[in-house]
Amino acid sequence: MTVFSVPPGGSTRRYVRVIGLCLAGALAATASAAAPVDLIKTRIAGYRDLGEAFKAVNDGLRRGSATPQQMQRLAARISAAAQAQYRWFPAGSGPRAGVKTAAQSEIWSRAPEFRAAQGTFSRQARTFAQATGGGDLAAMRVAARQLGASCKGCHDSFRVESD
Amino acid sequence: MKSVARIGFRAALPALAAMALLAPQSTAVASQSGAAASPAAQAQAPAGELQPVAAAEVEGVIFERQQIMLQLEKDAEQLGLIVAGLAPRDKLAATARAVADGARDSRASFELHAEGGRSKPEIWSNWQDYNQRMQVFADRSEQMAKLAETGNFNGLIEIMSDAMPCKACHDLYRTPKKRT
Repeated sequence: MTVFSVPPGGSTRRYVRVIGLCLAGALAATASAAAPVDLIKTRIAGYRDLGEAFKAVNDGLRRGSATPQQMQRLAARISAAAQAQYRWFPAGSGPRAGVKTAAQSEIWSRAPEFRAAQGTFSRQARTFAQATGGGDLAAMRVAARQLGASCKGCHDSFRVESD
Repeated sequence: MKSVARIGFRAALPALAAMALLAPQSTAVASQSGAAASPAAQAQAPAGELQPVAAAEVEGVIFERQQIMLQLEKDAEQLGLIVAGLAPRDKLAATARAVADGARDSRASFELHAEGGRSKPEIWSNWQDYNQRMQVFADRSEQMAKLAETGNFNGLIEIMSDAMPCKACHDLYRTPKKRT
C-alpha cells in the first residue's frame, strides 16, 4: 500500500517540505496542548515552595525559634520565587475545563493590575530580605507581615478562595 | 462517649473536614483599639489578652491567621484519615502534635485584634466567650497530642471529637464562604 505519493507534476523536494511542515505543525499543536498543564504544575510547585518558606518564617518568628541565619536562608527562597513568579502565568495557563488551578481568569483579563500586585510582592520580598540582613527579629516580624499583606492582596483578587 | 469509632468515620470526617477555619477574602478593618503594640510587646502580652495591631500590619496579621487555619485544617484532616485507618498510623504523634501547635497558634492569632477575612467582628466584641472556646480547643488538642506521643491510640480516639469542636465556633464566629 502506498501511503504517500507525489502528485503528478509535483516536485519531490517540495512535497517532502510540505509533509515536514505538517508534521512540525502537528508536533507544535501537541506541545502547546500539553504545555499549560506543565506550566500549571511548575506554578503550583513554585508557590508550594514559597508557602513552605513563608510558613517557616512565621512559625519561627511566632514561636521564638527564629535565627537571623535561618531567616536569611528563607528570605533567599522567597526572593527567588518573587523573581520566578513573573514566568508562572503565561497566556493559556488559566482555568479551563479539566484543568485544576486556583488561578482566576482575572489574572489575564486584568493583567496590568495583576502585574502591579506581583510588583508589590516582589518589593516586599526585597524589604524582608533586607530586614533579615539587619539581624533584628522584631524588624523581621514587621517586614514579614507586610510581605504577608502583599500575598493576601493577590489571593483576595486573583486566587480561588481556598477553604 | 463520642468517639470516632462509635459515630463512624463517614460521620466523623465531615466534622474534621469542617476544620476549615476562619479565613480568606475580605475587607479588613483596622484595629479600633488605639495604638498598636510592638512585636516585642505582643510577644510578652499575657495569654488571652487582646492586643491592638498597627493599621499597616492588619492585612499581614489576617493573612498569617488564615495560613495558620488552613494548615490546621490540613493537619486535622490527616489526623482523621489516620484514625480511620486510611493513612499510616506511624504519623499519628507528629500529626496530633501539629494539630495541637496549630490550635495554640490559632488561639494566639486572634489575640491580635485584626478584624477581617471570614472572621466575624463578634470574635472581638464577644471576646471572653470566643477566647474561652479557643482555650478549650488548645488545651484538649494538647492533651490529644500527649496521648498520641505515648501511643495511647484509644485514649486519643476517646477525646478526639471533644478536642476539636471546630464547627461550633465556625457556626457562631465565621461568615459563610463567598460563592464564586
